[in-house]
Amino acid sequence: MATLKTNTLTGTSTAGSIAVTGEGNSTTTNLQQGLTKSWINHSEGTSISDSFNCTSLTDHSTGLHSHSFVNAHGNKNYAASGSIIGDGSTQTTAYTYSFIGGANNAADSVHSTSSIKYTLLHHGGSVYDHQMTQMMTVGDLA
Amino acid sequence: MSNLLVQNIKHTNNTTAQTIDTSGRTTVSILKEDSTYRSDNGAVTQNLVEALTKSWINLNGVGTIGILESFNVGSITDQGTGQYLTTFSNNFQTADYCYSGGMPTGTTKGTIRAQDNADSTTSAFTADIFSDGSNQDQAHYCVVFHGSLA
Repeated sequence: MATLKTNTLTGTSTAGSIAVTGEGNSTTTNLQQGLTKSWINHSEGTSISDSFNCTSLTDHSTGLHSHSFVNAHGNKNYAASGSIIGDGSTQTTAYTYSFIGGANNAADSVHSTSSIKYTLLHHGGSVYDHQMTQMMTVGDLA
Repeated sequence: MSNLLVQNIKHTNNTTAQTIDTSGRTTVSILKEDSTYRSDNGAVTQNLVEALTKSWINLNGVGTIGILESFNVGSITDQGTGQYLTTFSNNFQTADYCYSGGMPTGTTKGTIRAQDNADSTTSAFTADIFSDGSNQDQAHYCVVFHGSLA
């Protein structure tokens, strides 16, 4: 097996497009499109536990957070997915019936190329701070 | 140190596999399925292809549904309020792929779930579910898929 040592991978035909053979050997997939472009793990408040391509976590109010991207997305139609650990009422529960949603009003809902804003909701619809919030985005970078 | 001056590296059948450009960079036309990468802290290696997101979609489910942006999605079908069938361009190897989703805009109080256990290698049937148990159409409905391609 050959080992390719490099610091940067760049496509030859298109700089931002590299083909990768799929696991079953019959198709190819795109390396850049398949990469997770940002992820964040944070608790309540403004402290980022760990992250990639995320900065400036902001605690706007109970259960309402936003963070910015270090390298912005190319457009606002990237896909975001997330989950929550810990019930806001105890902060110690290992599981939760909560999820990440948009905001309680349209003005608080931000899904822009440079940042994303989201609400942490209990299954009953109430807004809570949570022990651990995890979110990732995939899509085009600028 | 010895220098080997070449512009192309070829197979014996004369097919060019790698080109060395004038800046000394090598080109590889495709990364194979057994490609690995060194971990962020350098301690381990992992399979690069397995780590890739194989499909993702952000769709507008309000009114006539439409794809806002996607990767490896051939088409979507409206299956009812808040319910969508996503058909892949390149199929998965098995139906045991993993997906997660969200609706990060608007006044959403819901999450994404599987619908009717109807996932296959060619498509996934997903729906949103809200705190009152209902399905609702959303302007941004995102699902991300991981697993092995065919």
